[in-house]
Amino acid sequence: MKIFKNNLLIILASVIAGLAGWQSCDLPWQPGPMPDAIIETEFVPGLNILGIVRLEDTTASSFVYIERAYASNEYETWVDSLPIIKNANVWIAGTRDTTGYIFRYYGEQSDHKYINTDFRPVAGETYQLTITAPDLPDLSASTSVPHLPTIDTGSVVISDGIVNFNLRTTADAYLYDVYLLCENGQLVNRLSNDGAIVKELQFKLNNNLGAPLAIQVYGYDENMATILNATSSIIPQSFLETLSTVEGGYGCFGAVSVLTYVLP
Amino acid sequence: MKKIFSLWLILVTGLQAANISGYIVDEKTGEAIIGVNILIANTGLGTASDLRGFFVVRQVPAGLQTLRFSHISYAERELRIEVSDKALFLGTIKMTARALPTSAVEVIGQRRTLIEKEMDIASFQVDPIVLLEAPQLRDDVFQLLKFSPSVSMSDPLSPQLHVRGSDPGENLVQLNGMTIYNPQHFLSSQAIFNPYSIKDIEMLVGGFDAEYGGRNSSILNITTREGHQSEVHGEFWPSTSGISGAIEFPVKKNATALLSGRLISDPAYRVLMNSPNLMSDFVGSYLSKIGRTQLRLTAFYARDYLDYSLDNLMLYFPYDFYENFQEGLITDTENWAVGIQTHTLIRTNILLETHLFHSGSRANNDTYVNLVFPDTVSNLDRIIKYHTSIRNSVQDYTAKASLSLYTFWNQTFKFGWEQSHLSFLNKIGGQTDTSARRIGADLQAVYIQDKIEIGNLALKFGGRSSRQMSSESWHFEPRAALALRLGITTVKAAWGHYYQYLTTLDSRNREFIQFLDYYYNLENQKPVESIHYILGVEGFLTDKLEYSVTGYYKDLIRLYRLEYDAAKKSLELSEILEAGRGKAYGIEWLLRGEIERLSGWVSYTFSHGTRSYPSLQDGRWYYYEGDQPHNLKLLLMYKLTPAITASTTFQFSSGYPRTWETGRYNQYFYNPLENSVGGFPRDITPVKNNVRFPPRIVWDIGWKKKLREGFGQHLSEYLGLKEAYMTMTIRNLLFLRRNPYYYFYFPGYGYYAFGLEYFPSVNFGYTLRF
Repeated sequence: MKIFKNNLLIILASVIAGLAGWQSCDLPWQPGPMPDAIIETEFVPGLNILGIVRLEDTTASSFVYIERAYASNEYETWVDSLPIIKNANVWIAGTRDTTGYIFRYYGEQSDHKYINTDFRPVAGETYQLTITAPDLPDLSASTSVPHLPTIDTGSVVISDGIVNFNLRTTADAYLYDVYLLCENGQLVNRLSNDGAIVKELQFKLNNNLGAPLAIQVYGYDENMATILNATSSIIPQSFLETLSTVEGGYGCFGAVSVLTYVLP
Repeated sequence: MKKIFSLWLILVTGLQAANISGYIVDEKTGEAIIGVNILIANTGLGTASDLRGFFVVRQVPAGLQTLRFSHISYAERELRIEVSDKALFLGTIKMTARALPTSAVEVIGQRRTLIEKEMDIASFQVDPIVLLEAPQLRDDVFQLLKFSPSVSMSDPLSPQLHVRGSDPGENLVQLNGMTIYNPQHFLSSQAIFNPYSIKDIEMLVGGFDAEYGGRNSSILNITTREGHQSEVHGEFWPSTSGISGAIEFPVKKNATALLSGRLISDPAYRVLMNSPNLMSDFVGSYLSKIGRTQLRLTAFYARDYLDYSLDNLMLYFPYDFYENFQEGLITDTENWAVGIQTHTLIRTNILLETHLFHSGSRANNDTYVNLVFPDTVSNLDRIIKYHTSIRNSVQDYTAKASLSLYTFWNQTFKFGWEQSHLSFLNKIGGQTDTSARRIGADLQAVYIQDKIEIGNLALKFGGRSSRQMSSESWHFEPRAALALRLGITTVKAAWGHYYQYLTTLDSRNREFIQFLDYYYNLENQKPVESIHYILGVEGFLTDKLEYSVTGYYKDLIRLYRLEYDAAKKSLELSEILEAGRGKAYGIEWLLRGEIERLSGWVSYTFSHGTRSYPSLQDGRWYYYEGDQPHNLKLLLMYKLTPAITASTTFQFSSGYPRTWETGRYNQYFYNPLENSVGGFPRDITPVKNNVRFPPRIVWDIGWKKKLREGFGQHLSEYLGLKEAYMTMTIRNLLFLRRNPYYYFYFPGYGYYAFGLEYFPSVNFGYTLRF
């Protein structure tokens, strides 16, 4: 029994010492042991865009903002500056209006966006986006512009620091941001389009905001609704589905229609 | 039908005229003794006492018989009685503790002699004395359970346990039969049970009886002590971070009570970090014996609060790497349970048990990170605004009743009924109080099980029928097990079908550590469902050294995925729950017992667990977060002298699977007022759990010494206490080997494996007993 006990202790001590000595001497300032691959996974390069077709009364405010995704071994690049693509060819054409519009990059002048001052989108129209850039896959996407919502004029009531009104939604908008613009700031309410044609909305004012001036309603298409509701995580080594409504790249090409209602 | 039932009742009761039953207690303390071996000399008949010290020996031949009562910690006792053809209740039998201390620490709780337990193929039972003798376990039941061969964990800081490939939300924790919904403290992931108050720890990791339901993976039964019947005893543990104490005392004749509590506040957080924090737990238990009825009242309460902000740490380490940096968390949790149990011997071989309890849990958790990366080149700032908010509460009102009949062929029939009313409140993210999800649920179950012993074969089979009362359909859960003794070896097998009507929220993508289970009722959904197959062999190498080899396979037919971000978007559970499947299999080797003064156990487990959900990677199977193929665990204690115990714990575990990014892109946010774009970095993760972290290796040692001199002993004498102990632990002996917890990328440096402990830690403590 004593021999058995001694042998058992020797075996256990050897196992512990062996495991303890394996990959040891890992000082705090060293990078540390790296994980092993279970499934080999490779980086897929591509453009990363936010393209917005913006339907507004008189302003040509549509744009495409283009960066690229970068591989893990390119993180230094990202730290120094954003990976903005400045030499892409950007083309937008409608299904009915097949003219086609070239969007150009103007640097800081255009806040690093690709713009075209002649492009005026039309409600209900579907637009196709095509982007080519050197050494990166071609990107394509499409979006449909939601019709403008309306506010029932007779429903607007401002009293006792509360603004009430009815918003008439459209079936082709998936998400709304409703802003109440005031002298010194704004309030915002985000709501999904759950199919109700009329939504009763209310904003409660506070003293800091000043008098209410106008209501602005932004109606987003399905692509924008997807991106704006997307999950995020800062937890390392978490799985997140790739955020993309485009083909051949990352990001979103969506549409927003803008309604401005000046309060009496 | 009436005649058949009457005949059956006569058969099972009237024919059992020669049943002998009784209760076995410690002569001095009055505590029930578990696992006393009772043998009828020259007959081969025998049994063992259960958790309440109760035993029944069936079909004892008439005449003068000798009953032998034996237990390793007690002097053997004999009773000579005249047995007639009528049943005999011996009342309370007292046994005297042995004068000599045992040579080793008792770890197997006399499992060997527990004939009842011989049926349990998947039971991990440990004497709670191990918690006291191995101080590196920090008096924590969950630290102890992590050394079970069946347990793995996906996060070393999280108390959530994976048992044989199942999810943490499938584990049931009971304190004296009451369901405890979040049985751990927040800050330290420590169990909310004061070890002094614990009498028995048993974890059923599969193949459990039909009387257990509502959870599919494991049942952890914590039983509290009953209290000293004639003297006042207790324990007092002061430290710089708080105070812990317990007291047990007689209330009146045949009634005892136990009270224990802990109040802990970390001074470093409070003073240096200006972060108020508190962890507390209290247990009270009252036991009264009235004739053939035992009445037990139990009350439990725990509270945690922490308001932590990293901003305060920045006061000591100012660093302007980020602008407008804020990071912190606020957590406020409460846990409670109150219940009344009765245990009545109606006849010598008929036992009626009832239980009424109310338990609940409330958790408010907020975490936030805000910072700005200034981009001086492109003049476009990158902003991270991250906030997680969870409000979750569950309240449980349960009534249970069961009837046990001990009959021929060593049969034990058990019939039972359970009814629970649960209410839930769930509020995620920016939901308002009016839009929070409030749900009530009523669960009902009935069960029947039978255990038969014929020679060397023991069979156990039964069924449980359960349902949510809002649904008309019942779900039948058959269970079966057998044990075949072949000399000193026993072959065991078990099979069971399980249903569960609750699921839990997965917040691991949002909280750095998920400490809590956030419960959701599966209203109008099919229940979580699984089938378990278990096969094993057990035996004894010596009379104090046992081994077991157990293989299992689980078909996790239906699991649910409920993630934080989905729950935030919609209040309709049907829209955000996703059903999936899983599989788990493994083989466990366990060697445990005593060799002279050395005691403890060594185990090795090989296992895998996988999952598949339709929306994740188009339904491809992947290794789940708790998958650790290799697990070597060791817990040993050595009695250097009767007053000194040296202990060591060692664990080698395969790393767990995680998702490794291949790159990064900016996730855009859009300001429609300014028609402007911003972004924050998002990892590209095309494949889930595509890498495995390096193995974790942890080695700690402990030392416990009964004091005969020095400060502790003098203090003990001054206070008029019975005895004093000093404990010392050295944790993280392998500090030169890092166990990565996360990987962060640092510019100019690359990936850094962030570990939790870089240095060994040495701790001292005193325990004073009266």
